[in-house]
Amino acid sequence: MEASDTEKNLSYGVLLDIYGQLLTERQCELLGLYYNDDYSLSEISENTGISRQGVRDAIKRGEAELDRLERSLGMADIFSEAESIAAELESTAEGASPALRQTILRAASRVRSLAERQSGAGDRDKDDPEI
Amino acid sequence: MSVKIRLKRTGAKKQPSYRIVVADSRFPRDGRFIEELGYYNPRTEPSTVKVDGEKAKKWLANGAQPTDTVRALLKKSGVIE
Repeated sequence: MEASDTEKNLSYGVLLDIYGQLLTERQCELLGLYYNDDYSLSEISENTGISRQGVRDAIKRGEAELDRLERSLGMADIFSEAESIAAELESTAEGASPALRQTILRAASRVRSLAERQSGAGDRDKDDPEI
Repeated sequence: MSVKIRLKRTGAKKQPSYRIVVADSRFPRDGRFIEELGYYNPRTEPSTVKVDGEKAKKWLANGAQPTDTVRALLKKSGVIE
């Protein structure tokens, strides 16, 4: 992705959460700086001492790898589908009788936790301590 | 050394949301930034942007450069045209 694109494709941040540990440590770090901290290629280059072209190549390779992993494993897809099923159940529960409501909400939360397990649960390691 | 307005990711794994912050172009050793201007949540439909327009304009007037992503968000929320 070119730095001139008006918006970086932020969905790579999510792919990085899921598959980051399958990349090399350096690739994971560079992609994190680019997508999670919104640094430009030149800023990353200046701060790490890697040439701008080198940073760009590493990020390109990392993106291709994330795309390849998602194509073969599809965990981001499963996660977002499960999220949308859970949300649908929760909105259905709104209008239901108290007993039914509880059952539906329990189902929704089971779908959510299944999705978490499916795509690598847990906190992001670089999570912001203030939130 | 230059001052930038950029996004900084917060939020849980697989559920990204971002703060819009004023920060240096160098990597901070302690992860800190200069000031927080607002936040951006791409996961709502439509996405939510909240930004302190006064502060943002002040920083822009003082030469802070927004990243391309932040520039698009500032346009969207009417802080710059």
